[in-house]
Amino acid sequence: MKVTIKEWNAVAAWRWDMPDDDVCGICRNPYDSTCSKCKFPGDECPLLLGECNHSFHMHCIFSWLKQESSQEKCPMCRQPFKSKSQDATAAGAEEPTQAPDSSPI
Amino acid sequence: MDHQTLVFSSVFPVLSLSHTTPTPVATPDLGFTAPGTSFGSPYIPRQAELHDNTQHRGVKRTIAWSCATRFLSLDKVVPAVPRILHRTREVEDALVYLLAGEGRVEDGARNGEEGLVEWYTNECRLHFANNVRPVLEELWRDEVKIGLSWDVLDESQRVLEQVQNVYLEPFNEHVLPFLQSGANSTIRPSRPSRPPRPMRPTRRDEDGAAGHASWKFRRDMHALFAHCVAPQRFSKTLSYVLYDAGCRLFRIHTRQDGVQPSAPPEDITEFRQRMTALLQGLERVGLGGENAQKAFAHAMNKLLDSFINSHFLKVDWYSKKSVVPQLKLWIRDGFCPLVELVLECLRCEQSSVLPTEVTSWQEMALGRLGRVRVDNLFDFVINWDKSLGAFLDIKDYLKVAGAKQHLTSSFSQQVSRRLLHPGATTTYILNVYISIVRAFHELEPKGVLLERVARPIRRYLKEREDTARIIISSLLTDLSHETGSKFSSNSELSYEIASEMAKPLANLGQEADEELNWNDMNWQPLPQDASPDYKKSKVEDVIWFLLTLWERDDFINELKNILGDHLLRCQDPEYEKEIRLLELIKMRLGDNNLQACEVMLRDVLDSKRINASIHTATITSPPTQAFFTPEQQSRNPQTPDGRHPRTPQPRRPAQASSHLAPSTPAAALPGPTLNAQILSSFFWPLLRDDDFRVPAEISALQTQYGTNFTRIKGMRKLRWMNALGSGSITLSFADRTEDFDNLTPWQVSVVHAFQPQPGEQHIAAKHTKSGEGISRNVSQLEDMLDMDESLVRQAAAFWVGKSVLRETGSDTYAVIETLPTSDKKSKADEDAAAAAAELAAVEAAQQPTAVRSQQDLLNEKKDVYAAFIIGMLTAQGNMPVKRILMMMRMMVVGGFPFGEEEVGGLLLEMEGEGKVIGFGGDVWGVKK
Repeated sequence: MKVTIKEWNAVAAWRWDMPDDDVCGICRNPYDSTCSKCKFPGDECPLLLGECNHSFHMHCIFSWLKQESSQEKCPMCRQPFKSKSQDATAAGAEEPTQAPDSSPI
Repeated sequence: MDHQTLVFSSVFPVLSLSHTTPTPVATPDLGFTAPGTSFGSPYIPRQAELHDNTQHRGVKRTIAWSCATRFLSLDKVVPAVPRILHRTREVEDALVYLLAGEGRVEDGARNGEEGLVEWYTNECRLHFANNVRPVLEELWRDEVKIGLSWDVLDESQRVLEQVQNVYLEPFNEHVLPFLQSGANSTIRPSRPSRPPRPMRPTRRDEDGAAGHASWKFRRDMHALFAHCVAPQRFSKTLSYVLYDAGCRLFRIHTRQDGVQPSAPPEDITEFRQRMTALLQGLERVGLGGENAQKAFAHAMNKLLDSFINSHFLKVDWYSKKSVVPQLKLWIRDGFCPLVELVLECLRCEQSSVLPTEVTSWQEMALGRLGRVRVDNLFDFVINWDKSLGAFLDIKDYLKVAGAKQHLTSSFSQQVSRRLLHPGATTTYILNVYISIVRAFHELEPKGVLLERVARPIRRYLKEREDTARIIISSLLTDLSHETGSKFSSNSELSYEIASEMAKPLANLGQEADEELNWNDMNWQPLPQDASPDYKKSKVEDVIWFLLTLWERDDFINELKNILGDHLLRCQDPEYEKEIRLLELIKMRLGDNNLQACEVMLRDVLDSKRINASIHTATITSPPTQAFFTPEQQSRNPQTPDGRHPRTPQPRRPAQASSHLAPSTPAAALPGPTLNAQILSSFFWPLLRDDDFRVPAEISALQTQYGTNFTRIKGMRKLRWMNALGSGSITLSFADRTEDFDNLTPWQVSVVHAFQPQPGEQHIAAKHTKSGEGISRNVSQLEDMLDMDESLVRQAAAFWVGKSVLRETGSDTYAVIETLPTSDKKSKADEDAAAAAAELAAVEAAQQPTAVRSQQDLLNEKKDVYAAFIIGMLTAQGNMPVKRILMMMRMMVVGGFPFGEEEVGGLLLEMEGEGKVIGFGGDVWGVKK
């Protein structure tokens, strides 16, 4: 007997490939969820990984950095917040790729 | 006659003692009696001091008395026709003397003398008692049988009338004229004491004394008659007779007395005459009057009921009209004339019916009709909207005072008896509820009544676990495609809800505030029983009532679970119904908290696009960014993406090294296509994730897909949920090829495992005699696929049912490479296949849905919890359930989402296993 698979409809769940502390330090929502303003996770509410290895929902960290009092520092470690230019964790991106406007603000 | 009797009779005259019989003619010699004593009556005064004049008068009177009483005394036998008596001169003198002359006795038997009129009355009484009464008593002794009522009444009436004539004739002929003349000659004070009896006009033209005497005589006679026919029995019988008459006149078919109407319709005119004659006769002998009217009232009361039951109980199912107008017409044109006729016969003072009475009767009839309707309201609700006529009746009925209370209580009772019991399926209850909503909307558009009536149903529906699931899945069911069969066979779906959903959306925007719409000419105030803060919901369609069964949040949680499950199964690539449902709910319930549902919907919609772009990426091997749309770029510029992705080596699935090398020469074929649904797991309900190995080619494809996904979406990883999804395959056997679509992944995996392994080609090559291919047993399969035993068995049963596998030994299955030709063998196979198909179906039904329930979760982690509890009880001694629960909530890693009930259940189970022991009062400890 031969089995030929014609079609396969699979189901998969995605998650951000992040270290274990999977809560955004600002909104306290899980990374897999959205920031407090967004409706849809994923593409519309991406994460931003800082050079200090703290990551946040992009919208969360932006609105933080916009505030005067933040002095553009990471809210977790008080180091100046810089977006990590390369994706350190994503498996497929081994070559350093520079996002066009990855610097904050 | 002893002294005692005499004393008694002097106070309470005993008829037989005081009544004198006419003095015999042969003993006229009164002179020899002692002075002052008369011969006749024992009451003739014996006082010695009566002087001569009196004595003389006494003698004269006695002679006259003797003469008159002899003349007036009655024969023992009642003659059919009143005999005509001819007065002699002597008699006339005596009568004149006694009635108008000196011998007249004033009222109240002065000096113990008896008046002739009283004497005659007593004579009649005695005569009646001796001669007539036995006959009548015979008639009335026992309960009157229904069939004989007419005859008994007729007979009594006849006898009484005859007797009355006999009694009256001498009175009228020989007593009254003298009384009259006497009254004319002597001026007598008019009798003010005469009670006004307007109901029974006596001869008004006669003057007071004679009239009074006549009236009194009649009254006495009538009292006598009435007394001898047992009054209770008489009024019952009369009432029945009138009822019967009414029934016959109106041709009532269902009667309370159980008498079947005679088949050929009787002559109504004739019958009416008979009734009229009887009533008039009864009135003549004094059996009319108030008692008769009471009896008549009873009869009419029953008649009204019977008539409504007989003629108006039938609901107008076809033209769906109310019967109330006809009923009112009947009251006015049928019922009232009968009442008038009877009242006329009974000589009632007011024999015409006033318009107000007609109205009140109509209302009465309406009330009765309404009550009967309300008693069957539940059936009408079930048959809505064929039963519209009945509802229109009830709508009229609601105007009657007290109707609403009756309706509410009666209907609640019916509902709790017939609907809210464990035997009714939730779908059925929902359908009935929908009917109730629609029907009561017709009854009372303002919805106050509905709210009151529906409360218990809503409460009950809320308690049922499957209510929300049924509602939502019914809302998602496509009415047009899955016709009929699905709704009848599958009780989980309600056709009513589905059809409700199919209706166009109500125009929700327009209603600003109905109460303030001055141009609304159909505006009506709220019913008076509405509570002051009653606010009619703006939208009153059925879906609104269903969606508001729960608290909003509970409902949305439920919706999330069901929608998740539904989306994963859904075949419609556009997800039209789901989008529509979500919009609908947003409109009804507001759109906060619906995020999860929206995300789920977005996930399945986006998955298609992602699929497309990943396929493009896979097929066009050279690095290209075609799949990376500018739109995405602008949206998430920050996300590190695969701008210069390393060219993935196009790995054909067939070449992937794996422990299960498929024999398919995949390189030659295009290979299977892999479509994936990518879920944002955070927003989805917990999904099944039984893990097992999928066919190698698929897992290779999945890996590749995952890599591509990660490259496109940066920083995101995929986790495959192999228990979900579907596949379609083609099986090629030695003698046949079969296609299967829509299989579960584990079914595919199991059948895939029956392909020859690299070392097994030779087995596959030489088929056994019975045409069987490779055989494997359950534990082998478990090892090969890392699959749960239950899943393996289920899949195997499925394939046996499809005649692909055959169970050759216990737990061992073999491929049927060539279908057997001999009849016997194929028969056995067929039987086995049928049995297995059934088994597979049952098992599949038991399989949990894609979404995991709390219960599954509890079962899964039961061991962990049990170990935790034992540890805790060992370390800290005995504990009550509450404390255990509290500790578990605090201490168990990953939280403990369950309540006291679950902990109790768990503890009981553990007690069964002998691990813990209950000390009563919810305290538990470790069993030593």
